Amino acid sequence: MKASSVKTWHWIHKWTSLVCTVFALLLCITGLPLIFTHEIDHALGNTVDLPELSSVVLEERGGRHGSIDDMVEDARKRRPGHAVQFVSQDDDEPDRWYVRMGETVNARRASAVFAYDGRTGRFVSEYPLDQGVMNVLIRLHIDMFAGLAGTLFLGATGVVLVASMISGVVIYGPYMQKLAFGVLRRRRSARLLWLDVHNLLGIVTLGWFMIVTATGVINTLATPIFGRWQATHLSEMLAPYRSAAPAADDGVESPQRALDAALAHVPDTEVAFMAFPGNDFSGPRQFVAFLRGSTPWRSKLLKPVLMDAQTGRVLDSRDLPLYVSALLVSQPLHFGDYGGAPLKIIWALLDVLSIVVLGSGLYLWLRKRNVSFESWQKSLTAAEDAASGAT
Amino acid sequence: MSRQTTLQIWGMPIFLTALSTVGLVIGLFEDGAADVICHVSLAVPIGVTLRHVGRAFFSKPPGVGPHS
Repeated sequence: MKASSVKTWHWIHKWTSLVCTVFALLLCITGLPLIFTHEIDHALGNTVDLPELSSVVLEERGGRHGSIDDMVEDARKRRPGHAVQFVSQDDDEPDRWYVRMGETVNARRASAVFAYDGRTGRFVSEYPLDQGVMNVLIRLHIDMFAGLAGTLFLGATGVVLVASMISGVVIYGPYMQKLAFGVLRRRRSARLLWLDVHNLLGIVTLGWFMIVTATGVINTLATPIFGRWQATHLSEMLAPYRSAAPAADDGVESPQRALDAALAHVPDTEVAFMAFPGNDFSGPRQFVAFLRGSTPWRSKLLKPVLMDAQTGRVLDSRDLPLYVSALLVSQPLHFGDYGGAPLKIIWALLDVLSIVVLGSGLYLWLRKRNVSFESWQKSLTAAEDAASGAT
Repeated sequence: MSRQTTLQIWGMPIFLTALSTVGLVIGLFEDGAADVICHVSLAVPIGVTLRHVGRAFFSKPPGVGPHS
């Protein structure tokens, strides 16, 4: 590569990195404990184990599932006047269900999240929302407490970070002309050592960090992605039923009956979550259940089913468009929660290595700020010649 | 040291990046054996790092020892 090209790419790498390093460090550092959200929530008592049920109780129930109708009725009593937004089933514990309430059915922030025992329909615990360390970490990570604007800003940062990584790979080649892979020159200057550390760790974590960053960017687009789905597919599904007057003799709204109909409609599925009437993810007088498949790959994808709230009848069901599926697949790839505990540990270790890459990059810039590119190159060449002289 | 060849510069980086990507994705598609492949593939970059850090910081420099 020509010397002038190296200088240009070095400049690109420096400036793209400078713009995003502080925010990237924030994301990597807050991200580290977030990998273990499930475990930390448990340790802090934010989530509670389901009670042991005696065999007598289970026999009496004869395998009957607790009713969601009971859960929803209980939730409404605990927050009178508030609206039920969603009911969901835990990914890892099929007997654990959640009811999410909001001041209004479309309020962005939940007013309560209640956990229920699916075997009996009984209340288990209330999740402590908007408080504690985990809440601070997740708010910093998702939007820096700045709502959608914060989220989109972080998404833009992610895009710049991708550019920084690509430019870093471009200048990796020239930097490694005379250095074997993995050599860390410890006995020369601190600056040289940290350069070698930065290059080795950077190139070695590249695959993982690139995917986590790219899926992070996609995740920041969740609101516009779902917004578009609502404005197109959902709107089309609801069109035939919008102008229909409510039937004179309406049945009682039963979420359980509607969900049962949805599950019968799409075989081999479980419910991920179900949106209640009036919510943006459903219709004014309809439920929408988002069902996930039973194989590992299919469980990452969702199929929405539209049901009439009054009769529980399935009205329509359509596959999600590609851009929504891309978002859904980006979630496990970003969180690292699809491969059990070993994957979470690996995720944490790779995150630590990435933090070292970012930190060493920052250090290198601070130490090199007042040095021209040419004299920096000269000092590197001198170090390489000295190293080759010694061997 | 003479100039490194293209393979010497890019061999390991390309191998590790490809291995990581395959490992990440395969864990999404299947459980069981695929999960193990996923874990091992992603552990390799970590292992490579530890190996080289260990070499730089914990091995004796040449010329030290009773027989040099």
